[in-house]
Amino acid sequence: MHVNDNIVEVTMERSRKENTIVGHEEHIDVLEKAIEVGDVIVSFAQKEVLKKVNWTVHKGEIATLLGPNGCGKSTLLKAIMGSQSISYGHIEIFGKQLQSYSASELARKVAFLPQVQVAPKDMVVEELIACGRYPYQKWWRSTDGEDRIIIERAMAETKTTHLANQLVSSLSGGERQRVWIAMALAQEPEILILDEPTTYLDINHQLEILELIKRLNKEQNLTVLMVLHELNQAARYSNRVAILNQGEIAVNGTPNEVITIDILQHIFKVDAIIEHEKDGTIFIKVNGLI
Amino acid sequence: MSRIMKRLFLVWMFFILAVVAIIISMVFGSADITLEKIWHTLWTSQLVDTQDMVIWNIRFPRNIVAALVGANLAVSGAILQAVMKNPLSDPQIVGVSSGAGLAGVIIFILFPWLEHIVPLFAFVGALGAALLVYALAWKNGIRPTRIILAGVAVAAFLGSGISALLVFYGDRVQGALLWMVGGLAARSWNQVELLVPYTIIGLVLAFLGSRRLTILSLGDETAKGLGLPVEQTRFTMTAVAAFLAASAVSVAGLIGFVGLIIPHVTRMFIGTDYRFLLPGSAALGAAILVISDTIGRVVFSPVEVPVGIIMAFFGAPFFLYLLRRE
Repeated sequence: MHVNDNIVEVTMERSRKENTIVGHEEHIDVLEKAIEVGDVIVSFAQKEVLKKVNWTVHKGEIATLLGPNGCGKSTLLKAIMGSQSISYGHIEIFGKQLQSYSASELARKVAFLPQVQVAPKDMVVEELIACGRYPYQKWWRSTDGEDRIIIERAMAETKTTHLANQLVSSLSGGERQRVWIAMALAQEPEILILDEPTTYLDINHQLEILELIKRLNKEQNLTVLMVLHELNQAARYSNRVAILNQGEIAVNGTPNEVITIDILQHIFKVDAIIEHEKDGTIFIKVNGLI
Repeated sequence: MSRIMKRLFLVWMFFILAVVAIIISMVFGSADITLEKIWHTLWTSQLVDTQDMVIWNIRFPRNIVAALVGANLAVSGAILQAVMKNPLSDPQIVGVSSGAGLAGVIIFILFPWLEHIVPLFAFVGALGAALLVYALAWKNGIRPTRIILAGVAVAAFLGSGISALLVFYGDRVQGALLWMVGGLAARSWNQVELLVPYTIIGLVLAFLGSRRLTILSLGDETAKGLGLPVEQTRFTMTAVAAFLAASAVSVAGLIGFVGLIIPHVTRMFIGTDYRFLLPGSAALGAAILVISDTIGRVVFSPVEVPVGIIMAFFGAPFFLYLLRRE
């Protein structure tokens, strides 16, 4: 656990005790490292956007990155994806240096769902999902039988089979997000990275997407790394939460360890109450700005 | 599967349309020739009368040049629209053709003895212009609007260079001036020979990159996530587009709007999958340029209107239509 300053440390101690009392601690038995970020510094024009970030996501976890706007979340995701070069430090995916992966090799391990997605107006769902097979295909060779099976499975898992022949542009927000997740699944990844997957959705579809992610995590042992803004959703759906603030990981641990009144006050600058639900998850009630 | 069959069918239809356009348009001209005669001439090994000569040495090669130029410009435009993330891209609008044109005019006026390798110089000019547009438009990535604005500026700047050359070397501009308007008058087998190798190389390279272009159309972030080397693809495919545009400009001068309109119309029928969009655009571009050239030749006879003017006449309103729709 990486702790940033004393106040936070004291808080963490307390919340850990509270957790023991409540008796809720998520145990991740498999401790194989999926993503390891070590001492990573990224700077743009002499300004350090990430300042020595250390963070590990284990295999089979749902890890959520929280933090105020502009704290460097997207930059960290891009660095892990290999599309943002780092000035210092190292990133490993399944114990292997990121740079030693070829682009398509990485795409077969890690799928990425950007916050804003673009699809040509005339592209139908099935075609889009088939694009997920790109890292496995060479030159002119077209989608073959094995690809077909994987595409159909991805559609079944995301309940998008009935949309196969519809235009992506004609879908509702929730459907579209499921289709893009299906495309990511067609990559047969071991890690799925999602940048604010719920941002443009209503509450019903937000939960639908999060439930889908949780199910994929459980059934396929898919490691998930996502950025969220909604604290309660992060608390409910993650095994691990890290809060990034001003380019540094301020706290990292289980949701109950990390999301505390002090953190909400110091980092998010809001006044809040934290209640413990019967099932052990926390519920954050924000009263207002400080 | 049926979707793929439908697209293949449409590509074939466009291809047949091009072939039919090439043959039928040979009927029209200063003297009309019957289709029967044309068919006979195309399959005979000896040219016996004037009509044979007209068909074999004038109308047929000119149509082939028109078809190749149309195909190259259309494919070039389709590629540029994908790599520049802008549906309004076209080799002329983004300055690529002007780059080829300036290089071409420099050779024609200052180094006329190098005329046979004009396409190579035009390619250098076209690629240089494309890179200049990228450099000017680049700011934390590519924005569609900046690309167009930079393109228009580069096209205007290079165009002024061409005009300046024409002014300073007024005595030598005869050929160059006509070339600037974009016409196919008096194009014959020499130009076919010049164009064929460049067309084959360019189109094959374009088709090899077609899947990458489809992936690129999903946006840079997704494309990177799928393992596509985005910047490398953008550079190599821009080079292919410049190569195709340069070969077209070398023999036909500056013809606008083909690269803009044809990919759009093709997309309406065939969709964005570049494995079908590129061959479809090539075939339709060939057909449309042959038809436009015939209109320019025939309608105002005996005055011949350069095909560049015909394309601009029909193309400009279509451009405005696209602009309003986007």
